[in-house]
Amino acid sequence: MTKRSSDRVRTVGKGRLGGELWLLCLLALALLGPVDLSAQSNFYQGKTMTYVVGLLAGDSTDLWARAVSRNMVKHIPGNPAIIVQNMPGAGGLIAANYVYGVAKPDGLTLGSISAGHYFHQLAGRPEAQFDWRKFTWIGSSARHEYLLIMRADAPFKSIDDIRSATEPPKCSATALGSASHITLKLVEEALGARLQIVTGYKGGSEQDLAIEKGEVQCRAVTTAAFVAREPFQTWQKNGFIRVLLQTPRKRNPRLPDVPTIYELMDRVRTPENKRRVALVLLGTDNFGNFPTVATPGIPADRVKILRDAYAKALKDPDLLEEAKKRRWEVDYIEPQELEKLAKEVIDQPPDIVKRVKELLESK
Amino acid sequence: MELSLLQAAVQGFLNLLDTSVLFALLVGIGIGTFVAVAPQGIGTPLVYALLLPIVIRWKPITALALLLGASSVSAICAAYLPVLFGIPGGGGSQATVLDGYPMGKRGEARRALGASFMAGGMGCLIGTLTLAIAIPLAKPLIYLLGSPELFIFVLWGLSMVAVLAGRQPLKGLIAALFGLLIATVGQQAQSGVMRFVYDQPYLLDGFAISIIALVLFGIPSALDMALTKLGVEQQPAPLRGSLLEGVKDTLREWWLVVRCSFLGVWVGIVPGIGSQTVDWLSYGHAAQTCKGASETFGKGDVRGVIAPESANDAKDGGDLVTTLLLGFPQGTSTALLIVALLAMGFVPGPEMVRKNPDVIYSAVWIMGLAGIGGTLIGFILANPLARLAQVRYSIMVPLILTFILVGAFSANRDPIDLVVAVAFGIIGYFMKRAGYPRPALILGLVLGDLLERYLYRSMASYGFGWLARPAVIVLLILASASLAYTLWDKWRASKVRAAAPPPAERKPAAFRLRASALYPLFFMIVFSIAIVTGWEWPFIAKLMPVYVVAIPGLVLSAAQLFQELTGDEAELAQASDMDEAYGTSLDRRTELARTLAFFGWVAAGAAGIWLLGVVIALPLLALLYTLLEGREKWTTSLATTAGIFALVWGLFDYMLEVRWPAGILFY
Repeated sequence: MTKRSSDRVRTVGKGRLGGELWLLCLLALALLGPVDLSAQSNFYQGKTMTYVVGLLAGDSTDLWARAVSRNMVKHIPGNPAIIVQNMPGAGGLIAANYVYGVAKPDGLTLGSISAGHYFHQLAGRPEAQFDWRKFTWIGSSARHEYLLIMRADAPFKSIDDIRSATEPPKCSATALGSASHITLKLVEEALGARLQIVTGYKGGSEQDLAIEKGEVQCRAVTTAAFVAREPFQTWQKNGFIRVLLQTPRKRNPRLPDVPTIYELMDRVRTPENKRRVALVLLGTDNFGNFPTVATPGIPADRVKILRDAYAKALKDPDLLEEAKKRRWEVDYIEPQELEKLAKEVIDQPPDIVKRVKELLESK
Repeated sequence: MELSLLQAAVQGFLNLLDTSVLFALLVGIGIGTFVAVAPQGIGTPLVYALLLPIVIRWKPITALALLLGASSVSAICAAYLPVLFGIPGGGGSQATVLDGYPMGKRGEARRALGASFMAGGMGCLIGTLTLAIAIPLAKPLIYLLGSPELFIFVLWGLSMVAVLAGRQPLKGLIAALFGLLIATVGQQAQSGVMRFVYDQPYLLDGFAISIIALVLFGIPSALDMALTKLGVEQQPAPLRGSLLEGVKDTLREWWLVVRCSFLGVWVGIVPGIGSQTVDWLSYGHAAQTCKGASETFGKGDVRGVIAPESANDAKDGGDLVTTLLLGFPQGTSTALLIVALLAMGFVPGPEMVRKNPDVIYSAVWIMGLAGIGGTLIGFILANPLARLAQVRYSIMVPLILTFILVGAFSANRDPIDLVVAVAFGIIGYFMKRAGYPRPALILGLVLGDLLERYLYRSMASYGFGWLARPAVIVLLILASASLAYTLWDKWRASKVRAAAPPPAERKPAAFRLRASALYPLFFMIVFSIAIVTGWEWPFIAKLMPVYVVAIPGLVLSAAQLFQELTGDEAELAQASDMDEAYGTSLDRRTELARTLAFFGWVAAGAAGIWLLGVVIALPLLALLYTLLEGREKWTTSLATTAGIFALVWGLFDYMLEVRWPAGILFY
């Protein structure tokens, strides 16, 4: 780029190439820009939609968001254009605030937000400028399932061993309030198993190394990564680790011998108030991977169009082919379910909210 | 099919003998060159993300040739921006600006570029060779180092401030502490405490290092041109030196290249250190070990270019060791590479080593070829591009401001990015003027977060027991020895200096108010606010910002203030040698007027982006700047404007489909 403009600068400086040509091009572009006369009969026809992604361009979840947005517009009558706008600030919180309160409620702005943001609202943080329950939920995909993995040579063969241990196992996590940290707190709260959580790891790789080196003994990992990626495949084969529990309601068919947290809660007879706290914490998993939302207060007919388009996009052969190649799990979650879940996790008695807040802010 | 390593290496090469593979490699090299000269915001991760949907339909080796070709060449050719524009290059090429820009200003752009590409090519080959022989060694190498060892290593890196601080150690320490303080802004991973966030969502993640490094060096460089009216009032230094001279420099410094390359490989292999530190660590290493560095580094010493460039390009080989052999991604680009490989049916890690060693060796060969190709391309483009150093300020300043503002804004695409950019641009200007070394600030900023994480993790996992680990003890001895050597060397040098001219007659300390006293006062206020804000926090959150940084910072700034008020004129005038002060010969009023006008343009550009959006604001800035400030002809002015429009709209919006947010007026 520098080369091209420098060449131009030099030739023009000598007065060989007229600047008029460029002026004409600029004018032509300026005139082309605002032409927008076709939106009479069909609202979306000729419009440009914005899809806000709370991640940096190139992040692997950003790729998913881009694929969804590409396939969604195919199923919106009038085939509007859609542009993806990345707003990665504050872990995506800025994107959520933008879709909720800054964008117009005209159905032209969609957003892909992190499920964990409702904790900010529960905790009463001023940075969360939204009411989680009032987002227009469009749809989501791929429920998160987490596993608790433990080094096989550690003296903890099951959750019961941790419950009765005098010295708790050391588990790694990235940051307080991250999904992996929440899963560990969930195990502590719901099952009464004490863990020593070491936060401050930068990502999965660092944690995997820490486990191999014995710096820590356990961590929470998504089932999707566990079944597809290294080092987990080698670890499984060598019997280096054990999987102590999984978080979905039903056992994942690929891990038939691993108990779910619901089974374990039944077995250890988790009291009702702790169970409610657990359900709030488990909510993040059920919102799926970066749910798609829109601004509150969009006309109902447009909401229907958007929701239908999302549902169809997830069945679109192009998307499915791409998903297969990239090993994305596509598993449609209905907007009605998200709406219900959003109310459930926020409408909690004060003592539950207080407890959730304590858990997220403590080690 | 199990292959012996030699067979795999041969097979890996044979895999490449295919026209489509070679063609893809050439395209990749082209893309990489393009990324190297494009503004920040177009980096390898974005290119990978855009190419991925295309290449996963290709044959695996062809796809690898394109991706690896692009990423390694973009690293090798990254020195253009620092040398010619005085702005830090993309990730891993930031420190090059420290000596590359002074060389460019002296007219030695070609020599600097030649040295950088040669060093980059050699670094890339060393990194690649490491990857080739690391297959049996990768694991033990990584497992040698846990959090405690990494903590000592980072501490060692931080001790390089001693070199970067130059002749006024107090100012260097204050700058480094200021950098460490900035690094603590945001929600702390360990305690969840929101440190210095003041309820601003923007600050939750802390400041983006990329913005701060960019403006801290870029804004003063651009101001330098505007002050001297380069090319109009003051002729640029005539182009001297040749690419060949740079190549010779690099070959002469082969031992430095080897050392820095291994440092780069090591940073690449160890997960979590990240590409942003590699150039600063190697620059610090060079400054600490090269002969006479404390006199010449920062003033255009070619060794200050060779060190970061060789380390940065060797790092890619290290990245691939961990990515391909162990399956651990090292950052966004390698995470995307893993995604691509998975899509093609390979599982990076031990399985791939067992089943497809030939593909790993193909990657090695691709990296090697791309390294050679990138170096050649760099050489070919260097001669014409070096002339950019001769273009007059009225065209260069809007171009550089475009690169800076676009680079800053692409960090979060939040208007506050622009506020941060302008604020730190002003801070950078004052630091340069007053001789507070900016490299020390960046080192503190880059290493601060790592320092805190590693210490915390060591304590949490081992208690104080980590201090007794043998690797920790060895590293600690090495670090102390090298620090002691540096300090001794500096002390000796200062004695030589003091002995040469007769010591100026010392006037008795007299209390005098000077404008320069405002600088330590500023830092005192900053550190005091930090102490007051952080006092309530739990110990984990408070340890670093309050006890390690702010309290010593307050004491040191107070000492500096005392020195400014009572010190000897001649001693104070002695500029810090690692970060030269402005050497303009303008009278005060002209200088002040031009400086204010320049910052007016910067602020107007930032405000314009907020109001009108990038696509309108930056071409408009170029149009007005060239006409009003530069008094250029209409044609020249429009051509510059059109060039900048092509850059911000044509490249980002149109070609790459990365849309800029609209200005607030168009909401």
